[in-house]
Amino acid sequence: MPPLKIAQFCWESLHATREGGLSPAATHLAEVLGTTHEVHFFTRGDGPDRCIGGNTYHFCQPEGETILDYCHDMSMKLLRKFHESDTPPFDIIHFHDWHCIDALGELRDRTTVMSYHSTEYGRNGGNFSDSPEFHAISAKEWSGGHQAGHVTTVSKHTKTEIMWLYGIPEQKVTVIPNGIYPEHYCLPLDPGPVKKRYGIHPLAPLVFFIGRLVYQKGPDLLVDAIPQILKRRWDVQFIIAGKGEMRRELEERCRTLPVRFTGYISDEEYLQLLNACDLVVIPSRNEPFGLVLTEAWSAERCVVATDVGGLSENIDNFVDGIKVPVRADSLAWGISYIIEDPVRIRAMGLAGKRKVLSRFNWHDTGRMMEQVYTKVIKSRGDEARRKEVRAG
Amino acid sequence: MTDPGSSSLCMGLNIHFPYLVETRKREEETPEKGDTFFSRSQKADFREYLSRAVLPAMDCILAWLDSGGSISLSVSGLAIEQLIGDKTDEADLLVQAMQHRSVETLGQTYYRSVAGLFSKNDEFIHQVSRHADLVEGLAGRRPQVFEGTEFEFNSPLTDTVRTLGFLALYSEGYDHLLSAKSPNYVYSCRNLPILLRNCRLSDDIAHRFHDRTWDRYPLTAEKYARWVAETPGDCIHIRLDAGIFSGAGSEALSFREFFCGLPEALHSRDVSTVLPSSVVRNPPRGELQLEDLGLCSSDTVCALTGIQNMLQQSAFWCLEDAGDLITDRESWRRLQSTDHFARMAITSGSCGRGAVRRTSKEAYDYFSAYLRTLARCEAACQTQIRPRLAAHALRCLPPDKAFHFHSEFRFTGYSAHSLKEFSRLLEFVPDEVFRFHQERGDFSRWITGVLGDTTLARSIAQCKGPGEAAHLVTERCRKLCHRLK
Repeated sequence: MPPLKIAQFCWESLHATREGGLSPAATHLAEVLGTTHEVHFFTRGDGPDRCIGGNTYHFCQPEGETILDYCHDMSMKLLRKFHESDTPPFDIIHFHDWHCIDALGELRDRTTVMSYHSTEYGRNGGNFSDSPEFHAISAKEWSGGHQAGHVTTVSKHTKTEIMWLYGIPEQKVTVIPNGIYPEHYCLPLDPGPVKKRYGIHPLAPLVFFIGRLVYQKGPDLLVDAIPQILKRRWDVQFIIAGKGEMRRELEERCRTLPVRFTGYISDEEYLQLLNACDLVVIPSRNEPFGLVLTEAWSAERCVVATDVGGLSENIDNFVDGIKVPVRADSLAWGISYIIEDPVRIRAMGLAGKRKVLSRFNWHDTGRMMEQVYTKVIKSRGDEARRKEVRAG
Repeated sequence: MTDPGSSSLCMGLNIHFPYLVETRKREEETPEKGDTFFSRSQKADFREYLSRAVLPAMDCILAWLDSGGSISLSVSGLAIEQLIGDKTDEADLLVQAMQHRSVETLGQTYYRSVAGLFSKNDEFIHQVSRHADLVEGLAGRRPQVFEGTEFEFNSPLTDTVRTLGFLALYSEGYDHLLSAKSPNYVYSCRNLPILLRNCRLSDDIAHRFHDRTWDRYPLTAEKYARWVAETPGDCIHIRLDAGIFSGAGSEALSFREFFCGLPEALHSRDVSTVLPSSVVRNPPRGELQLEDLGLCSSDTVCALTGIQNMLQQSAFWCLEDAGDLITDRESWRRLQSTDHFARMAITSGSCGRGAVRRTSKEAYDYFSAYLRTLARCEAACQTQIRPRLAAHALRCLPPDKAFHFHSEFRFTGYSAHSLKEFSRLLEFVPDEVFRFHQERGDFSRWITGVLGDTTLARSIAQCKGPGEAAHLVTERCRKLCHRLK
């Protein structure tokens, strides 16, 4: 396959503005593609455009009162940057999530791919909403899916979701899971000192939650489960890391419970906690992929997660994790069940690590994406030829 | 190329009966020496163990030997002592079995204890030698292979074991912890050959034999012999607790039928039964750290051990420190048995041991009873320990006298059951917890009222933070320990 000139549009990256799980997914994909192709990454950030790890990053600083105005402004600014680099023309233009969809609209006659890392419906905890913002973002997701030459999703669950939500035809959608670099997440450390830093006894079992404290991620389900867990085992301690609109309410509810809220934590602190904890809990109500799952497995941690989306697809129940229904009492059961059995906790963590090594590596993800690019370029070429024949 | 199936099997039987502590409170009684510290039904319980478990197990062993099989026996000093003290027929049976040429008795600590985890190894050496002397006296042969307990995942221990003259050490091989390694080969740790029990195949018998929900139920001798023959490796090591031979009615019959039929079934599959000391001659498959076999604790202080939870940790520290405070060595040693620590965990028993699940409360109740017993033992010896003040300040405290760390709204989850543990916990107590207690004067009140150390109480009241207090208390402990010596 000859080297392609690829444009990636994503509103966040690991090298500038970073929000959540989308930034590592898009950045690492660009990096792996950059080893054989020319990749330009259009994103938010300060300063001049620069080359990072072989890829060219083009930055803009958008403005806008609402999230929709902000993203429209970003799309237009990135589009200008795009045109500046469009000679020779890009072979593939790839959009991640809805934020840059207005740019996709402008470039709809080019060879485009759109990746859904989540949907607005999913981010709303698997619920519809009457808010104007929900409708506007959903409309953008709908139009992106239809205008793009091809669509990828991070799990079968998200594929099904966009098929029924937005009527995207099945043959237009390919599932490509995120990869991971397990060595970035596994630290050889003694958990004792890390637990002590948080005032936790080194031998107290530590349950760790990381994620935005919003309804979709289900931190409230975990908080509701805690008293039931303590009834069965009194010495379990909890750390809830991350920020979000639910924090104040959750903290109030946990006042008398063995829970520490850390707020935002640095990458370094995250790695330390991930490797020091005994169990990672992912109580999401909707999870397109669940990056925390592959990160926890990379650190050889056992996972108790809700049976939704990518978590449901990727976890083999009782082999490399425990899946429970989206209910506080089920979550309590799952955590209490496994926390009592340190040998199985360890075994499930190791099984997860094996799965990560065999199924979630960026090299394979990059190759799968290349195949999608080849397919969409070929189908556009065929279409163009058909048009020529019809015209000629 | 895949490895061929195993051609040999090493079957082991484990007989042990600890002195458990009395879980019912009896503070009203005055401390006495000797057996009164332990369960009041000890003798009756032991007799029941003999008749329900040991006797059927011995029957099966004799049948096994009659059919030409070899078997290794792991009998603790405590079990032999109680058997002989009881003057029962089982004692004669056991001695006869130990003397049989197809039987090898394994070495271990006399009390099947946690002494291997102590910071000094003199107690461990004493108990291993005492057990080896006892076995040599009865069987006419000194044990050659040492059996580690489920708590001893501690590589430096292998140096001591080798110095004591053992050829190899037995440990436990959980498939899922070994990852790429197989338990069915000989390994080496610090130049000592390591034999690993196959925990999965042991637990197929110990845990799953009677389990009707098991997808491979019912287990027959032929089926088991086929699994052994198909399992790659040099030798499969199986260990069974005598306790699993206890059962009633048809269950006991079917188990006996299975066990007694095993030598013939193995023979028909060309699998021979061998003794551990002969397996040691196989070349090691690689180097192994004992720490990789167990679940290492997450505390540096007690790293490299099998200690898993806070209760076991507190009890272990109190037990080790009590070495300087208890002159009644026999009682102190009986309190070292791993069984006490297993009872402080919610789940215990794997790799051939009977599986037990307890509630949090049951585990905590046993822990409380254990510390009460340890405290009573110390109290009974206090007249012989000088200076009295130092002994009083360093003694073990049962939960009702311990210092429980709290914040304004909740219990932190940990408590100090001795002055030394207090200093260790102060190292990571959060500032707000320290402030909460300091402002109320809790530290100095506890140190004066419970430990009787007014000097320390005065100084701690001046401390501004947990780090300063931890340093102060550590120094005080060091001085008090020095005075005891």
